[in-house]
Amino acid sequence: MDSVIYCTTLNRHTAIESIIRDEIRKADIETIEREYRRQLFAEKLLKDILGDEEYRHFVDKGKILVKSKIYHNRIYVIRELGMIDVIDNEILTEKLCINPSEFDYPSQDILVVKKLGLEGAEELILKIANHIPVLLERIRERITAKEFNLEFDPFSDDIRKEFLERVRPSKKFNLEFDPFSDNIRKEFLERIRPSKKFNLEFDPFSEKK
Amino acid sequence: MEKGEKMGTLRILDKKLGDKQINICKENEEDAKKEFSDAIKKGYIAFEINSSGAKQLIKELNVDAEQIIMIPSMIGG
Repeated sequence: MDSVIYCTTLNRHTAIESIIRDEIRKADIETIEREYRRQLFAEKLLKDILGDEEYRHFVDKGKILVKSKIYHNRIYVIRELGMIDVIDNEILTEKLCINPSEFDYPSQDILVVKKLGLEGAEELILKIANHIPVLLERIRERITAKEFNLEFDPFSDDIRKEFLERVRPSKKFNLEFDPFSDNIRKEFLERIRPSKKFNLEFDPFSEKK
Repeated sequence: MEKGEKMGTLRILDKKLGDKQINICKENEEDAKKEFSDAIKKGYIAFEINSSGAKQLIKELNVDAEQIIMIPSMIGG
């Protein structure tokens, strides 16, 4: 009798194990198939949105360029991972952090969202995105490191003109940011200066020329 | 669908299934409208894309559109 029970139990365990294994195997295949289909659809959509030429460029260079319709000489650079670079007059001025409100979209879909958003609703994207100014970080690092010993107002119109017309074309400096963007100035005046984080011996935004 | 009738496509990004595609034609107009309004209720944003690739933000389904793509709502990071 005992051996019969043992045998039945064993069979049952084997049967359950077999069912579980089947379920796991089935689930795995379904998951893999679903993921494969999802990736395939997302890649196709990305290709459709970019078109052949732009898609090839993306595959080669890993980035998608979107020209601004609002700001003259502004280009947005979208990469598969990370934030959107904002390039004004060929200089990186800030980064935009924006993503779909829900997680788990394939990376291709996120690229599509960013590209379509910037092309079709640039104003909305700029309003929603978190703006990370590049210049501020660089200035803060350099002031902390006492690399700057400025005897001029870096934000004055004269300096800007001089910089754009003479200094930058000479390529003496290799700045990766636009020190004259309005966002940087606004951020500085509204947030950084009142915080007195910096102990500047001059006013970089002084109206005095 | 009648012969020669142009048919547009409504594509809705779906994180589980890839993109969901719905033909916009006379027989399917009501379904397309329902899918469109359901997605808008979920916060999706719709763009009409014409043959030259120009994108335009839209609030209502244009049944004559060549292609409409709906993307999920976005948040700043």
